[in-house]
Amino acid sequence: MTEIPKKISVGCGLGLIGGVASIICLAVFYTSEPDTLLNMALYMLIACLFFGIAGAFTKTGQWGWRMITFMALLTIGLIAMFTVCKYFDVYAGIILAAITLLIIAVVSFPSSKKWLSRI
Amino acid sequence: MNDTKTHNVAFAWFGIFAVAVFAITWICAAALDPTWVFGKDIISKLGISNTDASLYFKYGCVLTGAFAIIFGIGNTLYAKNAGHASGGIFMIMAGLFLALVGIITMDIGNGDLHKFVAITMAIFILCAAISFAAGNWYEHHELYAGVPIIIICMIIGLGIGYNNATAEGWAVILALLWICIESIRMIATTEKD
Repeated sequence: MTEIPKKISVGCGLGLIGGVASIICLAVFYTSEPDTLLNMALYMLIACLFFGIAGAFTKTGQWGWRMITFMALLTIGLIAMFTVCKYFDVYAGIILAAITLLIIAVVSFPSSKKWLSRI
Repeated sequence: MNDTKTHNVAFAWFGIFAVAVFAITWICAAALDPTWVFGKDIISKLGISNTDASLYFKYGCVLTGAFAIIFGIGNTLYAKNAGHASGGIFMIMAGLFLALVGIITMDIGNGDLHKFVAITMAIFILCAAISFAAGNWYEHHELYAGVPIIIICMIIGLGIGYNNATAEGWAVILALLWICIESIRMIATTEKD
């Protein structure tokens, strides 16, 4: 199976967009106060998770579809927790959660599951 | 998968009944006691209200607890794996302690016994949520497994970011939502025996 289905490319793209969006949020919500470091670290954590998920949608990706689903659910859980704790801006949290939900939707297609189960 | 409805669907409906009863009880009690404020007062304060709200709270908790026990029994009897079985047992214990929350109200003694019963109930519900998540994951129902985990993360966030009353109120709402989704899972994943 050398040809990557379009849905898998969409999933990879969504992961990259999520990561970039997290980095943008990190820059937009940066303030010069000392306790902003925690907020920045949490945005960076979510960005890392998104980039990790994006990497799973490549030809050399090592995760099966269940692992990707688990990581996406973990990402949503963390985004929800940080948004509720008021570390994340509400609108930023909603956008990042929406991107993650789209990733889960992409992974749920039978053709995606078939390609990701090649491992 | 949904060819035949078996008896576990009837047990699943008790989960939905429990959610409906508690929601109606809470809304009616809050309406009867105008001094109770969401986010400022804990739900247990309705049990010691000077109005009829206390009756709604007490009987509502007992009835919800009874429905939760039946829901838990159904999950245990029709469990597909150890996760569902243990989740059902935890739900039975949570239902029992919820009924005790309605019986042992805050004005009995210095309120410590009520606190103990309420916190124990919350711990059993947490254990039930984790067990059901594991059981659903094992059965390859990943999305159903993810819902309680996301809800638990949100409740942790509520505990960190808000006061006790607000966190408790929203945590109860999220727990009711979870029980509803778990009941729907039980109905939707019914298999022919």
